[in-house]
Amino acid sequence: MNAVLGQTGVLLGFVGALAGIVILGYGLVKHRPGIIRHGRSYSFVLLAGAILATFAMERALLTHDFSLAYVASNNSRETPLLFTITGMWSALQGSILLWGLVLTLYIAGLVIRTRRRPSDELPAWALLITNLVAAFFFALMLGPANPFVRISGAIPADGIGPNPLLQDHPLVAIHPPFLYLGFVGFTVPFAFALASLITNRLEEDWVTETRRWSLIAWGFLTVGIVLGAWWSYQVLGWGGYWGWDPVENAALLPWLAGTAYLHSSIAQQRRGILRVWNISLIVSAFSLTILGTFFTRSGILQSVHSFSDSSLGPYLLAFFFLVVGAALILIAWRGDGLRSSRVIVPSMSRETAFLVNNILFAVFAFVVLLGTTFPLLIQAINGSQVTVGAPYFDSFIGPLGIAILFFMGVAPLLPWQRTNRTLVQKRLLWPTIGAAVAVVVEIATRVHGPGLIFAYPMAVFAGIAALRQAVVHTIISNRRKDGIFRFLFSRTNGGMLVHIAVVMIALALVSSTSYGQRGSLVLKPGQSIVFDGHRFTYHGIQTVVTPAKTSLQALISVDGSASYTPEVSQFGNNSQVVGTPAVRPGLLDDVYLTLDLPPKNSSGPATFGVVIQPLVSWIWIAGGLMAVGTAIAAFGTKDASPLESVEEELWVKRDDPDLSAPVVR
Amino acid sequence: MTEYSKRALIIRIRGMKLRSWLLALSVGVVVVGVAISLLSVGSHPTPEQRMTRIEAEVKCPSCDGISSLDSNTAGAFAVRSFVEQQVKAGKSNRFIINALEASYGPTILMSPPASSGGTIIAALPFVFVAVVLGLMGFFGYRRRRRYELSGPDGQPGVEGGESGSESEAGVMGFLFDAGGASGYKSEAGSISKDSEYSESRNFISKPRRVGSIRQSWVLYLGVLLLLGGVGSALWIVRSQDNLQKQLVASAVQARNEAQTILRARTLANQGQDVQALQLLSSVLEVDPNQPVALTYQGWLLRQAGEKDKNPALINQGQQFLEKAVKLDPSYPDAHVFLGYILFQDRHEPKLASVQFSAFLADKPSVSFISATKSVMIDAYKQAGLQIPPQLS
Amino acid sequence: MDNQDKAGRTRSRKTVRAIALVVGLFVVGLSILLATRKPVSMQTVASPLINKAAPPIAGTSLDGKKVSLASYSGRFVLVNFFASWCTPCQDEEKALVQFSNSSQDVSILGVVFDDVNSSAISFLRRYGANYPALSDPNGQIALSYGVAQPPQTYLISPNGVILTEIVGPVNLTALNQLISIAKSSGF
Repeated sequence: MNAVLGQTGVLLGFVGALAGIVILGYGLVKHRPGIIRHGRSYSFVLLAGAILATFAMERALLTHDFSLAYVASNNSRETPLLFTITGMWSALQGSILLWGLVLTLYIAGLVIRTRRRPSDELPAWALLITNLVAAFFFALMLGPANPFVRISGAIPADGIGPNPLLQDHPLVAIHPPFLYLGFVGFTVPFAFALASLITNRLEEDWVTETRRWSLIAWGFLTVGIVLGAWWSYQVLGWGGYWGWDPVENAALLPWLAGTAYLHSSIAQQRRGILRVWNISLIVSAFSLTILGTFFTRSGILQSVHSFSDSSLGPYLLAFFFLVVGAALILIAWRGDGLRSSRVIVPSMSRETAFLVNNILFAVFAFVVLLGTTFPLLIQAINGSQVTVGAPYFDSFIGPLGIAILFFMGVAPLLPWQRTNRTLVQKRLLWPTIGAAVAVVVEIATRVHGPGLIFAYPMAVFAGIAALRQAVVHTIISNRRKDGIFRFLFSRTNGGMLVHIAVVMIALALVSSTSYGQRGSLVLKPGQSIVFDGHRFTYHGIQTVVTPAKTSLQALISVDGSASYTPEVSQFGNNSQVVGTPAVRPGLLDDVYLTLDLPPKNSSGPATFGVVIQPLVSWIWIAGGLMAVGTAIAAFGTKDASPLESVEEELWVKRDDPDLSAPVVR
Repeated sequence: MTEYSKRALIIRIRGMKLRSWLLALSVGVVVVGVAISLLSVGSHPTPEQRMTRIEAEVKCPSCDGISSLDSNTAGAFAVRSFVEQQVKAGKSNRFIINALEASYGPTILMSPPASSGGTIIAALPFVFVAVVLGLMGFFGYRRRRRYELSGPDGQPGVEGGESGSESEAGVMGFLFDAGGASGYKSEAGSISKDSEYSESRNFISKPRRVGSIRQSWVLYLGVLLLLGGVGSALWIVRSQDNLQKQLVASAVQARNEAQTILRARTLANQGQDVQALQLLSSVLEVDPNQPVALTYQGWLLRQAGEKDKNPALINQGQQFLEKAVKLDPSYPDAHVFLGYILFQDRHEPKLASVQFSAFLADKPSVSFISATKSVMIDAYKQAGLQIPPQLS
Repeated sequence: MDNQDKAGRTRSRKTVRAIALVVGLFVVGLSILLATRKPVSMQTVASPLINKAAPPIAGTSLDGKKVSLASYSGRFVLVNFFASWCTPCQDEEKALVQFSNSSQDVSILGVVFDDVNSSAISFLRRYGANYPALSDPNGQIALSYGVAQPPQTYLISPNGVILTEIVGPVNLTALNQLISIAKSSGF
């Protein structure tokens, strides 16, 4: 029943996508508005198919329908409700289904968004391209990654249950969907970029049209990545949240391309420049999501969370190749039309800053991609196996990150086009003073390590710069009697909020990695010990049995507070033993406890791993702020034109003649 | 100049001076402070700093991508205590890292050693930066030159073409130069507001050219190449995939048998029989019916038996080869090896010739035939059979 | 549109195409590289210690005697890293005990990997193992042999060279064959 329902859904989706492609394609080639309008409606067939398939999958999971191979291997009768629902994305086939569902939702959104101009060829081409992508994923579900395959042989009485790591923490319920919303979201701007090339409407239309789409996708991806870091912090038990694992890099790469695009596209929107850059960046963002999926699904890279080897590798790789190839051909084809009518002269202007931004992010992405694929490269060259880990990434990303912080501070302060010395000096003053103060404090407190010496002042610089922009912006609108909210929730302020959140993450990252303390405590029940200023008391051990797992929990209190329970658990039919850390979060520092060696008996000594890291919590808080900032940037009030905003700022101190001078022409 | 703007000019100069001074002072503090801090970072690290550094460079032996410093596994503890011991014994960082690499191989290091591409991976990002900057500098310069010669709509060209260092100086001068209200290049070169807007409108509303013939060719050729590329790539990858599927019996204990067998054969050729045999056993453990592994296992056992004068090993070898022949009658190697055993150990030239004929019928390589030719001719002669044409 | 601008456009188009071509070649290379890689789970790497002199082992056995690898010179030695908590170690222990009882010219030397001595002793007793086993405090012996996870076993020739490394559980036939081959290869 569920299998039939699900198969029907997948098939319906596939047929809907194909019909959309054929009809839209015909209408677009023949320029027949009626047919185009007709073709658009097939997106809802696609959506219906995806919803039906998802419904069938969830129904099968909830009713423990072990006649489906997928359910039998990713669900058991003992699995709690939450992890039964999340079972849909616990393994490959279901993840592809989730991908398909998210994509069809975006497609439906696209159709609804552009409903007022149903015969416009730009969105129609974009729709055709998104349908092509959807057809690929539904074809995967019909063939190599079919989630509705029946189990061969007798139907088992109970299933295996999800991977223990995937039924250990509720974040599993939201981290993957967010990540997928981000990954898949880049399909829409990508499709518009290709559509603009096909229709030869290479100006600002497609950028403006997809601004909000890209912001949404980027916001989801950002939150997804932060949640992923949080999840691995809470689950994996080594006290870190980012290990430059291939899977993490796979999510970071499209994020980098997307971040560069979000900035660079402003330049095209406002000044019509950096067109080839923008198309390349959004194509990179989308194709890197496919490449990232390939990395995680082919098993060719050693990773902590490659949950599956699968046969999807070749298909994903071919699709990646097709996407990049098609985009390159289109770019080459339209090469002349992409030329902007303006050039960027290296100077203290916003345009130059955007160019620098693109270069920095391109280098960043290159370093990450190189580090991720290098073991494969060296293996192909001389057959030896190597690890590329944190030391390599840190040595390149550290300096790059500091440079990015610096330009993140400077860029929003620079005016467009003309180099206005007075204004820039005025805007740079406070951030620079802040950096100077930070340096003095650093010297006074004897901060060590070359990375820290640069990182703190640059973070302060960028933070004050962003804050200043936001405050000035708001004051202006208040003075103009626009109402304070008009500009408090303006799109620029949204961006500045994201900048401030990035600064917070930078500070937290640098502090937690440089000032973390790590140790091992051996305690008998009732014993206390002081480590790095915290008092740990071990109270004893208890065995907790739930239908899904059997855990050995140690009760340990930190600074006399309530008990924390680091534990080791064994899940149902799985012999793998999984350790679960306990975290005492704090605004100043986190205390992270793991049960490294359980005691032999209830009165024996237990060995605990303890990690104390300052400011870690601020990473998650900043992740939330980034989400808010992105939402404001996407849905906030409109900004004034760039020229206007320069004048606005001058207007703040109308009586200050040195500021009004530059506009006297 | 009006009275107002005259007054404004004076205040501006004063006001800007103050701000410029403050700004310059702050920048100075930052630069000097960072320099002092950097210099105060000792070039002679303490033993603890050295230990931390080495531990961060060494992977935890049982982990994926987590350093010994960050891990709490037994292996990480072992590494840490080894590092501590060696540092205290006064060994150099290089010595300690080399010692660990000697027992685990380069995978134990968190970044590749120079011998395994460490230099390449460190250099490539710089190459990338150089290429990007070089290309942008070159094309940017060319475009700016063009604008200089003739801007769009006959505008006076933008003054460009400053080299990097010049523009750098320009930036610094621009920041701290309190005086000159005019005369910096970019403003002089900027296009006035009105004309720029009209130009940009004009640009948007300009009718689009339909792709020229040459343009279409790019598209057609590109699409053709692309589809061909994807098609052939998919075909190659799929066929490889099928091969793997045939070879790998169990998905759980998946191992690349083809590669392992190949390595075993190479080892066997180099005389490293022990290694080869072990590899083959590992394949047979996963898939006991792997004909190639059975064949070479059998052959190696037989050779060992010959050397060792151990008939039990020869018997075992024969059993393996007979199984291989049964499982895959079209695999020539199995036939010829079985033939050798039947002829040389069992002295059954007739049975051996049957195997040799089967071997020849399976189209073995010429070099293989020439290596085994003399033995086969002997067998055919002793069996009283006609020597097949391939052997003469 | 004047001539110069037209020329500029052609040149710019050429530039874009040249860059697209370069990027395309890069992507082709990357795709080929990725397409020809095998999954990590299918790869095995030989230990760098094979055919090298075996790192020295010396210490106190679980029953309190002095044991060293050097004293076994002239015999084949099977060095087996094990722990009572590891499931594959339990799988292989029977075969090891049988092998140690049946073969005259091969000695087995167990090395405890990350385990409490008392557990290791009762583990060996349970299977009736009578070969010596060393405790390895701080895991330094395991480190010198490049052990990542138990069980891991090394065959050492009479002249003290590591002949082979077995990752994962051993079985009796494979061990017997290994020894025969090793002998026939002149060790």
